[in-house]
Amino acid sequence: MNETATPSNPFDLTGKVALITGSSQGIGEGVARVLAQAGAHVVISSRKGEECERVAREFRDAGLSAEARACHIGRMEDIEAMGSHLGERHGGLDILVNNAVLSPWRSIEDTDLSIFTKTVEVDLRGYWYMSVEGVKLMRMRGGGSIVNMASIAAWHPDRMLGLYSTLKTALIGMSRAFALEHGHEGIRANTILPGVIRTRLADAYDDEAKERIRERTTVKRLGEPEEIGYAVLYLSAASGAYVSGASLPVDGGMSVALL
Amino acid sequence: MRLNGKTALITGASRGIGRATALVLAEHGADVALFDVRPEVEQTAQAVSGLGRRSYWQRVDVADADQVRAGVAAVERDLGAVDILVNNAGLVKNIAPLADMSAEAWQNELGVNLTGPFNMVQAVIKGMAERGWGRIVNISSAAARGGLYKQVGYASTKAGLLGLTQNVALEYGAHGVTCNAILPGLIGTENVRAMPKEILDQGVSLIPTGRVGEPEEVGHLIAFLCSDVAGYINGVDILIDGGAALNSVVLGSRRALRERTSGAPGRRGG
Repeated sequence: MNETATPSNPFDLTGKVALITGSSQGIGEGVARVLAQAGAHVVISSRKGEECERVAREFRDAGLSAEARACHIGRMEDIEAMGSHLGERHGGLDILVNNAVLSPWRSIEDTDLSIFTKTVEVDLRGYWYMSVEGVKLMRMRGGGSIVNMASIAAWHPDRMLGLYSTLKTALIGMSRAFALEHGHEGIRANTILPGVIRTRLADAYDDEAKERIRERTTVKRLGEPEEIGYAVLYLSAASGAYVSGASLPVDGGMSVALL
Repeated sequence: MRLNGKTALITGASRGIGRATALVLAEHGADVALFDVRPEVEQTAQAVSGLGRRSYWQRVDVADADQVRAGVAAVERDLGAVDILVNNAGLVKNIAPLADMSAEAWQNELGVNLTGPFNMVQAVIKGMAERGWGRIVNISSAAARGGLYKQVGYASTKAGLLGLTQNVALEYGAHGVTCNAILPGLIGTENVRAMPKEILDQGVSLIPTGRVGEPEEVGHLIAFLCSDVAGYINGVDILIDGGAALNSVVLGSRRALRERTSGAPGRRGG
């Protein structure tokens, strides 16, 4: 759904700069597409530089405003370089979508220290320090919106995804802490909790598992990446200017169908 | 967020969040029906018509199931089937310590704030399910989480509304109907603007975004939840409070904020 770009449209992002981490595929790519269609200039970013270039090129071919910039959020130097780039090239940032993620499929007992450390470096430290950069960049532009991509696993942990679920819960606390401490600067922070979204990652489930997941939702289907994108759009545009510190599940009602 | 071709029904639409929502949904293309016990609801209908959308209004007490059924039937005759329901009507009948709350006030608040939305849902849900598309938004309150001093009836009914929301989501999600709740904090409605200035200022001092919300901002959230693109959001409750809830229990922050602002003892915002 393409919105007409008028100043009075609260869902319009014309003139805004948005960074979406982990956006060379899956949910991140869907989010980037929706934000770009709403008028934002989007920075496509992940560890995979070539894949970022491919997505950015596709977006530009579709008449959208996009650039590619490789960034491994597990590396502090990459985060700092991204911050410098956005400051110099764009004079700051309006929207940060923290979405890149590691999701090791391990039982709790098999999550050894090296996996633990590597995962925390991306899923928590990466989100935190990218948000710190985001705050500095948003301050340059008089405010902004941080959206942290958690998971419905933050509320309802998955077996074999114990560490991932734990760190997703931490993101809710992180969003709320940033919302509290930087609200007076016009910076808001919120968390989205996606359910199972139709991406290459979700394709790894076999048909029986997918059917089980569909049945567990109230709406009897998997979600689309763009549906997460529209939630980010609502939260990040003028439409969501009074929402801060909130947690928004986009999970097809999975978390109400508990019994 | 296009709502063209949709018919929305909003309760408590004579003023405040209800009126603002009516205008926002009309701007997004919806035709709008309006219920309220106050005759001023007619003026909201005129404003909707002024935006070029069809409107219909009727004085309805949502606590009365017969009035609700008759009102919905009239809307369907005049505007067509109801695609979107916004349960916004709500009241506070008695501000008193729990021990002094009158049984009559409790019943009255329960009737309008919780039985009312139930009556409304019952009147529209079958049609929505048969047509395979519907959106219901219940206006709860930040008071649903954490209560509200001397307003036990209001806080309890707003918490009850979350239960209604989840059950509609659970039973009708498979039929294309979503149902979600909104928890507004301090919103600049006529009632809130009429609060004594020092009390309002104290409330605002506890809000990280540093201001009360605008009724239209609640309207934008409703417009989003009622659009096609929000079809994967079902059974949730969303705080729209400028971050006020983040501050409500953190004594250090309250003290710091108090020092930064005027100085009177802190009071929970929202």
